Amino acid sequence: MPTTGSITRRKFLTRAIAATATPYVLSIPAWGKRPPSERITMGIIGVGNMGGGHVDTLMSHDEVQIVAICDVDREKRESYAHDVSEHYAANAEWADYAGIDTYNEYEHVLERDDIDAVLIAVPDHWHAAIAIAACRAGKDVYCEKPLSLTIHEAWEMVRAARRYDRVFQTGSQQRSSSEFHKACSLVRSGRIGRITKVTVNIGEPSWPKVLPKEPIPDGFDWDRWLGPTPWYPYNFERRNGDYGAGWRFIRDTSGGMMTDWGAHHFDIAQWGLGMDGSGPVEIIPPVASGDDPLTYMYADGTPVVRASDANGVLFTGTDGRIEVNRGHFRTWPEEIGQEPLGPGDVRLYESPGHHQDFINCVRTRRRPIADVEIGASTVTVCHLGNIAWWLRRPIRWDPQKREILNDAEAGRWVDRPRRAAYRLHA
Amino acid sequence: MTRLHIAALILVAASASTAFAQSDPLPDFDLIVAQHVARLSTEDPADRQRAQLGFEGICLSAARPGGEAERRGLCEAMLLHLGPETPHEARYWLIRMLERIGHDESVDALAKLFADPDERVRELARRALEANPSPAAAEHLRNYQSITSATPLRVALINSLGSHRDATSVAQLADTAAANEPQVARAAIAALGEIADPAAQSALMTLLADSPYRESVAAALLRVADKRLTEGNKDEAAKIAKQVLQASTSELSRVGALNALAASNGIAALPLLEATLDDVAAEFRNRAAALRFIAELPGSQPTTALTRRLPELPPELQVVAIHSLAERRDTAARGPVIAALEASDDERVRLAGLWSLRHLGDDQAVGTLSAIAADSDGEEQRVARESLARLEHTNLDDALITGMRELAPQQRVECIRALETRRCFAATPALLKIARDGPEDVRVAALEALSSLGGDATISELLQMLMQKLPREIRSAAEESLSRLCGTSEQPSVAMQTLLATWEPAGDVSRISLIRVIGRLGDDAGLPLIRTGLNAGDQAVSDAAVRALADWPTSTVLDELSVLARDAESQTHKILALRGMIRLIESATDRDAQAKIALYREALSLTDRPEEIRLALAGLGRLREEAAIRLIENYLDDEAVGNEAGAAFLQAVRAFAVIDTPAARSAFDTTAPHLGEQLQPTIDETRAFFTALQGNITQWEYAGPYTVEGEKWSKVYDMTFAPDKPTEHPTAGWRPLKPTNLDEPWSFDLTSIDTGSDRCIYARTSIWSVDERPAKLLIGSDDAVRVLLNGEAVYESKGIRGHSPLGDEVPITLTAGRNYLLLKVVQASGGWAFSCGVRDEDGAIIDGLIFEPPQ
Repeated sequence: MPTTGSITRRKFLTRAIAATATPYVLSIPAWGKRPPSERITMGIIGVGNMGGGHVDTLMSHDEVQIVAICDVDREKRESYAHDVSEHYAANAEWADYAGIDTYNEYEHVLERDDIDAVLIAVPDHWHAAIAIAACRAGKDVYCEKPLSLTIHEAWEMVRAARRYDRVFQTGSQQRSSSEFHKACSLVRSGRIGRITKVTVNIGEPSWPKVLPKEPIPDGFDWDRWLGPTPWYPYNFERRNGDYGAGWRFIRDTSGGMMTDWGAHHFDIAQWGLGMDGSGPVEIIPPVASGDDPLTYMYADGTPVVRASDANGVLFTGTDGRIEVNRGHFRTWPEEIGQEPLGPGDVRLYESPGHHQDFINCVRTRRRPIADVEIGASTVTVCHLGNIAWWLRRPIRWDPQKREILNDAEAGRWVDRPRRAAYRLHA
Repeated sequence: MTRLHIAALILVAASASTAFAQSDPLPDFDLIVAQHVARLSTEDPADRQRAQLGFEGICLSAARPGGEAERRGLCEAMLLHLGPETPHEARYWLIRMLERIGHDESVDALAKLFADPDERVRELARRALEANPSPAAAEHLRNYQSITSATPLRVALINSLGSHRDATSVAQLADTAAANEPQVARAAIAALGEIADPAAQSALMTLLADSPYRESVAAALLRVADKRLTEGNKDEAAKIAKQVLQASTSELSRVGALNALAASNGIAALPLLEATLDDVAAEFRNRAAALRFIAELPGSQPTTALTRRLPELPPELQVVAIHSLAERRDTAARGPVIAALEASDDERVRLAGLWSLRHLGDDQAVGTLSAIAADSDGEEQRVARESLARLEHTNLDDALITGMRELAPQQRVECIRALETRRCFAATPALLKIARDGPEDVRVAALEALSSLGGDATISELLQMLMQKLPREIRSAAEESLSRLCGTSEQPSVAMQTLLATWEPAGDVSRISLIRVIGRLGDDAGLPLIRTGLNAGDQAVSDAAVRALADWPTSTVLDELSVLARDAESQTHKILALRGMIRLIESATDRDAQAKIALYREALSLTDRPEEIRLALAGLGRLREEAAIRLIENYLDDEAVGNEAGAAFLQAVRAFAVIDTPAARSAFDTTAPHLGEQLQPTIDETRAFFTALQGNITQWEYAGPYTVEGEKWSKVYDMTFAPDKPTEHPTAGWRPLKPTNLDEPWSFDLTSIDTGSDRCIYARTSIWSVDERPAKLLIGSDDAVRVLLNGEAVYESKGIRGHSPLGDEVPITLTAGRNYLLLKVVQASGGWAFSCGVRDEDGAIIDGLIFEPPQ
């Protein structure tokens, strides 16, 4: 590449663009500092690996007041409640802060009339029941991804959010990141021509797991943790929320990395293809091992392939390629990524940050960037891949009717029975 | 067992089952199941898991389309093993398989399990019957429900009936919905909502009048309404919604009913929705919901309904209304929204109005938005500018170009800004005209916009401008714009030639501009012109040339600056050249460390001005050289620069510590006590840094990266490469691992070596210990890591994770003398890093340990 002095021509251009382009954030009016009466009061349901991070983030938003924390682990909920109390107590602007309540059962959070919204960061098998109950209780919802454990659950969540006019943000926060927004905007604007393939690099499905019985720790409500999923004797691994192990890899509690990371990267594939609200029509599982590609065929003939030869998501078009991941954005040829979007280009929803977008939408009642229907569409893609993989046969899908076609036994995987007295609808 | 193993196992199982399908008669499923029952009962978790997966593969394959005979045969074989004679773990798994693939043939046997003493068996049997599509399954669930008294079990059975959606369950559920126990009654009501056939609807309608659980009935009826809508029966759905609306006592049920009404009745629902919106006694969320439902209705009436009410709504509902109207894109809302914006002094309403104009605004909005952008500040200005740049209406570029020509100067500037953001290349001719003869502020804005919209064709136009007499600000803006255009030119050499060709005919003022443009570009091809300028007779021209050279971005001019710093006639030029020289020494990639120190020494010899000495000391502080420390020490007692020298000294010993910790520590211990008090915090930090260095490993050699075409990281983790093999280890191509973070030199970012995924590197070092002792190894990695100490694996983390420096603790025993440490750090994707340290059992630093790569 030719250079101009110490800076390459490309860098020069990038710098020039950075100096002139509209920022990719803050498209919706921010609300500034609000008096306590106008703060959004929130309950946090689940303060494990993800929920704890959300608590930290939300404490930094002075438009939000955390008033309740719920977790089946007594030590965790008390610890986070202590941290939140300390934080507010140390801040003069929160002189009116009246403390925080802790709960083992989420129903007590939903019963409170003084709570506007809830953040749900429990394991996947609990998402749907809590979110649907929250909608019915009139709470706005920020729910961690993947949206659900089954396809049926996801669309019941959509139905509940619409029915009660709730703002519902799915935690697929890559949509609020500039690199993904830019990549999808360029793809949708035709910068790489007609899309011939999308490659998505994520892990594998979950599988059944046999684990020995261990004693239940004091202060941990194991029966409640299991909730709607089949009963098993306690083993730490079943409730371990770390990446690389734990419930995310066990089929009764999660769809594995196919849903956990699929909820991010398939989400970007769907966004780039303009397939929110729709999905593939055929899913072809890996031939032999997990290293073989899993292929989704869309109605227009575009394949979306789960394979390892991409850094994140790779859009391949007739005129070039765009690859995007967290902190990574690359195009072939390079020029594709350098020219800012113009008035004729597709302008995708711009989020000022995933939490801020949710907060803004709670006030404006707009649908947020990762609205529940988007989360449902994406997680449906993830689940379909898992179903085909587990069954080891191709399946056909009607994205409008949301039915698996010509395979009644595969259709039984669209939902799962729930344990004991648990059900989706109160 | 890895997931790959699992996948392979299932493949084998599936292949076996496929083979059954091709044989006739069917395989001996009784034998197959009997064999698996034993394996499914094994105590070893890994073996049992393998058995479960293998058997599941057989089941799922048998249940494929066209495999009905196999499916039934396999199920019938499983049914023989459901009794208590089968070990309980095997029973559980067989029932779960029947949940997946059982039909009519399985129902009776599963129902018998309701009498089993094992509660888990009973629960799994209920699940299996719930998932079983046979009507007989529902019948068994009903029968059991009718004779069960325990509330939780009744609720579970009722839930199953709801999930089964069997119409024949309606009568029993309707009776149960009148039960005394709230949990049971609510479950029955919810189940009727799931079934949602006309009979269930009728039962729920009856319950709506007098059930004590009216809100549960309302929710169930709304699900029925959904079903009617899906069937295309909008009238019936609307009827249900109205009934719920009338009977409901809860605000949220009313919201749900209004939603159903809007979906089924369309615009006919408007009066009821308006009534809720107008109900000032209702909660905000209900009024907001009614407003949103109105906005989702088709036609022009909803816009009228909302805009008519807009002035009277409270601010928080005005915000919702404005956003909803904007989403409708109905331009009839434009006037009322602008009126609300202008009338409100509530910031939220004004921001919403400004935001909405991007969707609703036409060419008239250009005037409104540009005026607000020009006259406001903060959020209002930001949103107004953004909306101006995002106006969606057709022909808005033309309106903005007109605005750029005709509005008040500050509005013209805003229009130019918007055109630039919109990438409106068609505006270039108009921008050029304004750049030539507009008001001064507008000219500057036009020139700035031209830098990104102009293109190569504009280069000569701007050069022509620079040949003329211009106000200083205009000239400066034109120079900046021209340099940007040349820097982004498709044909950089042509652009440079155009600049160079203009030199001869140019006057002195224009020549100065040319030098500045080339100086900003920093392109070595322009250096001949700068050199010509240096020797120009005109003082101002040569002054511009010196400044351009002093600011030059590459070390190409280092020697020229050195000469100027020593020999220039003008003292100002000497200082400028010296500063440029000192600045460039650090970035001179063509000079080694010793050459750089020599240049710093020369620079320091040319001045006694504190300003330049400080610059040189700062550069020396960043060199990882003992000689740099020595040079800095000469200035520690200097009254004018002593503090800066002290800071540079501390920085230099930290940098040098990564190369030679003992020497750096010695220099620190000798000098630190004599440094000024104000440096005490930095001295303390440096002392802590040395302490951390004592316990954390910075000296490594690495080999790799290793990758195998087509293999994922988890496979790479399990594979062996040269460093794993004793015979190949010594010749694996070990190289020193350079620190990537001087603040934490024990933390290595391996993406500096390779940015690919699914690969690994090996890192090796040795730990010399005085005696044998227990210790803790601290290890952090992104992603997987395996640690071998003296050839023995002491730690493994086979998973994808982020780097938590020194995050994991591993108990180890150090032998007396040299201990060999080998790490395999595996990259899945994204970040790739590791860190390592050693502590005693209590977490304290161990004195006397020496870390150094094996010789």
